[in-house]
Amino acid sequence: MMDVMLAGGLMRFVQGLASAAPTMIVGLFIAGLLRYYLGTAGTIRLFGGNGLRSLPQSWLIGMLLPVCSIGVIPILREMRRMGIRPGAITAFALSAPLFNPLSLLYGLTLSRPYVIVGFALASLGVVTALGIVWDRVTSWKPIDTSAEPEVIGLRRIALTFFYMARELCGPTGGLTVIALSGLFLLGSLLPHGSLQSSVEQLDPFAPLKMAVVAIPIYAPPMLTMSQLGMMFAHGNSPGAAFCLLLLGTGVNLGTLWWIARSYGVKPTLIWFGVLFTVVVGFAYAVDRPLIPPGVEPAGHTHAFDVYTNPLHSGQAVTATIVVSKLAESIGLVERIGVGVLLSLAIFGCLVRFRLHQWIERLQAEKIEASKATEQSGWNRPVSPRAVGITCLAGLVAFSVIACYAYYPPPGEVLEEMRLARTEVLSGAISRDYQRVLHWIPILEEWSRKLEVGYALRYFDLRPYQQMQAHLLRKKLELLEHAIEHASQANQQTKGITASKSEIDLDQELREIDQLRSEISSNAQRIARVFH
Amino acid sequence: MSQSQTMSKIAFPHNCWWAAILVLTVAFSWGCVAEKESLHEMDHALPPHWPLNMEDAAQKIQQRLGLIEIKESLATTREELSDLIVWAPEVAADTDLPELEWMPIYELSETLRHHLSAKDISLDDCRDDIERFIVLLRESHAKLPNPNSAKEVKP
Repeated sequence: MMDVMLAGGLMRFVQGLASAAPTMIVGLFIAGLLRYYLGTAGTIRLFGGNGLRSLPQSWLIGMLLPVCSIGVIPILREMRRMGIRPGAITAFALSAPLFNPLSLLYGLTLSRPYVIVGFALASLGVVTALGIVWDRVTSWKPIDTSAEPEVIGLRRIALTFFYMARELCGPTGGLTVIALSGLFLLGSLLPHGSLQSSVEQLDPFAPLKMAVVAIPIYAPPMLTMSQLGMMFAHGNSPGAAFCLLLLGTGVNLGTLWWIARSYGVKPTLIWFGVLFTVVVGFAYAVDRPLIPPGVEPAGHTHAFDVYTNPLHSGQAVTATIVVSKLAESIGLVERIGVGVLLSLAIFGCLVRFRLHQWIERLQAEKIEASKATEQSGWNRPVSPRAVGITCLAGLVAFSVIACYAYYPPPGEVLEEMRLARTEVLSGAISRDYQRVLHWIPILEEWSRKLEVGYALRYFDLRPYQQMQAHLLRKKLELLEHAIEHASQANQQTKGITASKSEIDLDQELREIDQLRSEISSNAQRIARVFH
Repeated sequence: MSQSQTMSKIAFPHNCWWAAILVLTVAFSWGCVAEKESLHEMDHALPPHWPLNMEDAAQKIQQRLGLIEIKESLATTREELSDLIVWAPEVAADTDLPELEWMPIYELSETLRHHLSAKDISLDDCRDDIERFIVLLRESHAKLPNPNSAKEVKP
């Protein structure tokens, strides 16, 4: 039992680290840009100065940058070092992980678009109200920015890189471990699949329960969007979905810890109390009005299985099982991210313990020394602000390009869907259910990408197209259930209740064949309407 | 900033943090300790009034409309009528009905859904539109290449 708990918790920790890796690298890079390129004055201007405008402006910048609630940590540390208004810091801290261009586009396919747009606007209301409270309960005054050391050229690029490595092998790395410990705790303590029926549509405690469990959760924006999608598809509580978005994606134990260390425990408790109350209050207000019409409550959701123990109690725990389950759940991008992160962390240890004196010298060198190497023509000195703004604009442009790359043209997606569908259908014919269960989520994912990819390129998505994609996902889910039932009935045919199970098995097999035929018909319609 | 100072930034702020986290986690896990044997053990229950095809949807809508007319309806009859109107486009889309012929069904369903949920006009005022909807479903069903092939539904 104990080994299942520990192994399960550890697996959730590693999965969380893998999901956080890409956005963590982006977060460290942005923090480096703010420090060495944009500088204090430029960063304060970027986040809207010291007035009330800083709250919505920080929210907007947070929406544009592709970071998660862990990737936001080095940026928050840098913002605080620069003396940015605390309200603006928390507004950014909460909004940056909630949405980015990729997740927002994905979110628009999940439910009626106004729900996701409404959630985004509600988050603006929450962060503005909270920012005003936070500015009142914390002591803050602007800092003098005139004495900032300035470096340019290759030296600045090197310092940015060293800074990223040092941060990772230092406070940001420590806070990341604290953030992911929430997943470890939940993965260890919550038995396999135990959250499946916790957030039902008509359960009056659903938003409150979700709000409580969301506190230790770390969830990257895309995961939250897919969870919201599953919740809407299963007719779960929309209020609970809002709590998950704000409290699960917006904050984690690491950010709470950092806020408490930086501003004191008492103000943090007030801040978090207000956040919790506003979010839960709003969740209850929207819970009934946002129930999607025509969706029959399924009585459960698999959205939160990722926070419970991935192993069954009593299951044998071996290194092979743990590694194979991790390998199944961690994709190529995450693996590359973890590789880069580990390399950066190793280099960071070297920087922190061996090269720190050399770096301090590098940092202390006067700008005049750099300027002495100035040349004419294209090699002209450019102000740090211009370089910093170019880098940030580049990041936003990169996000837009990433949207088009992540959501390919319909022709390409249809080809990928054809391959995945072939695997699903041939697996169903040959009764190779493991293959079917492996390919169903892949086909579901492509169906979402098909919708977003089409909408991105044609600025239109017709109701009939949405309906066909919805029908495909619905049939795939029914197929998943039928296969699970067939597997169970198949095992039971060897037991005491053999005759009843044989009838059940026969019925499930007929249903699988029926669904197989329906998925084939749906494939023709999808190919026709998306071409 | 020295290394020790930096690391102290992430040091344990107060013992109550761990206690709070543990209390929250234990409190939550107390309510949901039942392990699920399977990820799929809870099936998607198909509602008993889910229509098999467009003809069936038209028939069920007409039946409920009739019950409401003779004042023998319960609140559930009205709910079922709303459900059927909302589900009809999905049932129609799951056939070979072309998009152009599906759109009127969808648009009329959306209009009726809006009025029935907002309750801005009475059901009597919607009656003509609902009857038009029934006719539309029947006509569309008749246009299908194999209109009588009803899907098998799991009991």
